[in-house]
Amino acid sequence: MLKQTAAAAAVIACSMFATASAAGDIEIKKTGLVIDGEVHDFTDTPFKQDGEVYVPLDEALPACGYTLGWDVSINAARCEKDGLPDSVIFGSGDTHLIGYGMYRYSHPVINVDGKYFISTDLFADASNSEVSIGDNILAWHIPDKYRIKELNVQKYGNEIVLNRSYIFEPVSVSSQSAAKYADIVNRIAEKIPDVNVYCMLMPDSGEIYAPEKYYCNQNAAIESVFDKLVNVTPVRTANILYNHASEDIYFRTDHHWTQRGAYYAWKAFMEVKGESVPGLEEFRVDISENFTGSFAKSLEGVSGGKALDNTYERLEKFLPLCNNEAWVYDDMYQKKFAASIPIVKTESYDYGCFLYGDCPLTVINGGVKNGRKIAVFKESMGNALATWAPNNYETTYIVDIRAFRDGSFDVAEFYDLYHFDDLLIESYPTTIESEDLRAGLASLIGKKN
Amino acid sequence: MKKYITAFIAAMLLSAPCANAMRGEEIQIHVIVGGQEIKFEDQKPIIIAGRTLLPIRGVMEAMGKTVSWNNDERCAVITDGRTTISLGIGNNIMKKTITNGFGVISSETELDTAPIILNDRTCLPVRAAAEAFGAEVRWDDASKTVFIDGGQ
Repeated sequence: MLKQTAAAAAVIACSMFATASAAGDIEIKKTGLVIDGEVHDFTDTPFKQDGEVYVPLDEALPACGYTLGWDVSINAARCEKDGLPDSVIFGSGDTHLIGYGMYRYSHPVINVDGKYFISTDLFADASNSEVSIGDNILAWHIPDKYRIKELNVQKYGNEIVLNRSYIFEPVSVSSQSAAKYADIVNRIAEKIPDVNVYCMLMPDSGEIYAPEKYYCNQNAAIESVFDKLVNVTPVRTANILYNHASEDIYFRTDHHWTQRGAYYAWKAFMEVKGESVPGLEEFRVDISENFTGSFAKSLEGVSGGKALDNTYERLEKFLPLCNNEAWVYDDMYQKKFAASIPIVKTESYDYGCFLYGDCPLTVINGGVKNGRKIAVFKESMGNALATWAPNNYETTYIVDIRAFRDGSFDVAEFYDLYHFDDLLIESYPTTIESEDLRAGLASLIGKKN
Repeated sequence: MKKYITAFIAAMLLSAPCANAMRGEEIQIHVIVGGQEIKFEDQKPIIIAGRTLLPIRGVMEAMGKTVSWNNDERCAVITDGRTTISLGIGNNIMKKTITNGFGVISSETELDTAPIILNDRTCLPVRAAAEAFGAEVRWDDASKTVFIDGGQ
């Protein structure tokens, strides 16, 4: 009977999401249960209800080596493990038989259409394990509220075009890649012990908007990175992005987020630091309606115009409250001056309007007058992100992780030059997964790495 | 025997100070037979579907009965020589025979909860079994205590 419930579980999970979303609570966990120090994943989504996290009975106990059998006569799961007394978890009621005794739980079991989820308290006792859902474990499964119904699908290489209007690329991140990425971030932090180092990771748009069959659970990979960080503070963005998913936080024809999406991520960063950012309404915004993104421009074997009914979408450009000027250098010493650029270029109609696209080292002076400095190690997602930095830092150093593969950058020396207070390492899932992009980030560690 | 030893060791480990603290609130049921509380070394009394089930051997032996296990029929057989009851696992019919000078009287009683085996112990709703031997069974909900008097 336990094994018959997988299909039903998907339905249950969806209904749970809908309920939770309606309540404004998206703390629904896809993973993040730590059993005896090890993070476990479950196929059927654990969820949170009334402050308690519930895990799927037929997956959680087997994960601890127990075999389960359903005893119809007493409507209960009998849990056996060699060498330990059996436990009996009933399909209803608040008392359960754990080992040789009987125990009562305030949140024991939830039965939804035949699928049993048990509270982590009951699970911990029944499995005789240390179980925790630490505050730092927030691997949210993104609810279905904004998922697009698949009416028409076209596939071009890695890109998927849905309903002739939305392009995305599913990117799965392996645990090995996550571990390698975390190691690089840790090595960077090791070299600058006097700096507050932050790591901001974000899911792609497909995780929020694509049908669940394309869901890659990037948040789980992101959490596995965060779990491995040492002296680096995680910056989680999935929650705030989801909460604003009714707005244009990602482009529908481009792999980037919008400047608006980046704003919310920056806000999440500032919240981690206990600081605030000006409201979006305080910024003057320039809007173009003829933006065509990178996906639409580079679909494999077809033009965007063939695959999409309309390749144009809105491009919002929020102009800085400070002066709109930055300086680009080709080296970390600021000796090879390249250009003076606008932080946000109004007369540009592609993603390059933010910080002039990808530049090796960009320096923004003249932010808020507080004397604070930040360095941002980024790929292109960081271009839109760093436009918000001057609202909280007087000086911003933006370093592209792909620009110093020749070994000409050293983070410790970079710190000695500029003595920045904070370092924000921003990456999207492709950077975590890509060996090439990870190598770019690793190149910033420097010669003595 | 091996499983009993293993279970005993496991019980010791579970009760050891280094074991994980239980998160649930333990519900303890006390059983007093003829004024003496029975200590259950491994499987403790439980409640299933509102019915209290007791590990039968400890209780019945405290009442002076002999308990045996019929493996072929998967039933516990309890007797004092005159009255014999048998309770099958998963079977909610209790069979009772009384042997007297006139012969054997057989009867069946329907139980609302069938006996089950937990951790190698047969647990059954004690009221029907104890009353079959003429004992009086009383339940005090406040102290979660089963009182069994008489029938020895």
